[in-house]
Amino acid sequence: MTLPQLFAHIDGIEAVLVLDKDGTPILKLPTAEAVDQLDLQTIIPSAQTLQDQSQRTNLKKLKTVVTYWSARQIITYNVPPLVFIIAADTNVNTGALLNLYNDFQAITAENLSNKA
Amino acid sequence: MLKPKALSEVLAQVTNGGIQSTVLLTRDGALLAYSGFEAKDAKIIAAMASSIFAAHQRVRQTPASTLPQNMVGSGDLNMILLDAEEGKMAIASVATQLVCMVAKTSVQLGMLKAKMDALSSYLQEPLRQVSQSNN
Repeated sequence: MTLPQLFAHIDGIEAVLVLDKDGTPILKLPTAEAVDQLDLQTIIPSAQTLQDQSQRTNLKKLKTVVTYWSARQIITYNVPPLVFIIAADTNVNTGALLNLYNDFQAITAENLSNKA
Repeated sequence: MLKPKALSEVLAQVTNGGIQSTVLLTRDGALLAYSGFEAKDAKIIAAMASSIFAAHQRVRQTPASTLPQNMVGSGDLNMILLDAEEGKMAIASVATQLVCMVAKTSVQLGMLKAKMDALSSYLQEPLRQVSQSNN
């Protein structure tokens, strides 16, 4: 399963950004220009802040964060050692987007087992 | 005028079915009213919710006035939903205040959002009037 295949059945996804554990971008979809144009990388510090704060509360490890803006919804998936960030239109099915967490987990596990 | 007892009663109406605590707070993190957890825990939740919301606002609002319409930070931040291993949290902006709900993992995010939407729209007008009278 490839990332573009995962998103094929969900209309309205504007951009996808994949970061490593240090917050360095390792993949930008559909194009680097599209992600840069949205300035998705401004999310990086807040994703790390959220993770820190979640660990301070009783919520423990953070899995997903959904932020609803007036123009779009942004979902951050914490799948160690990667962080996936998706920007989508407000009309996109949030449930379908949240369900991608399981696929991301499978992809990450597959990737790591291939490396091993 | 805000009636603290009435506010707590409204918050108590949604604090059920797996919702552990509902907190109304200012954007600075000061507690206004709460239902569910004890006052000490409510204060901690208020501080965390304010900090999390501000983290988003700060990142995107710094250049907000200059942001092109298409950028991620354009527009208002309405709600944040957090799904963690041992619980869920929703933070929403209501007038000039924030509302935060903490729920068990068994509560579905859709239900949490629906309750938050209902509470936000119920509190929107009274809180807006209070914030206007303060200005």
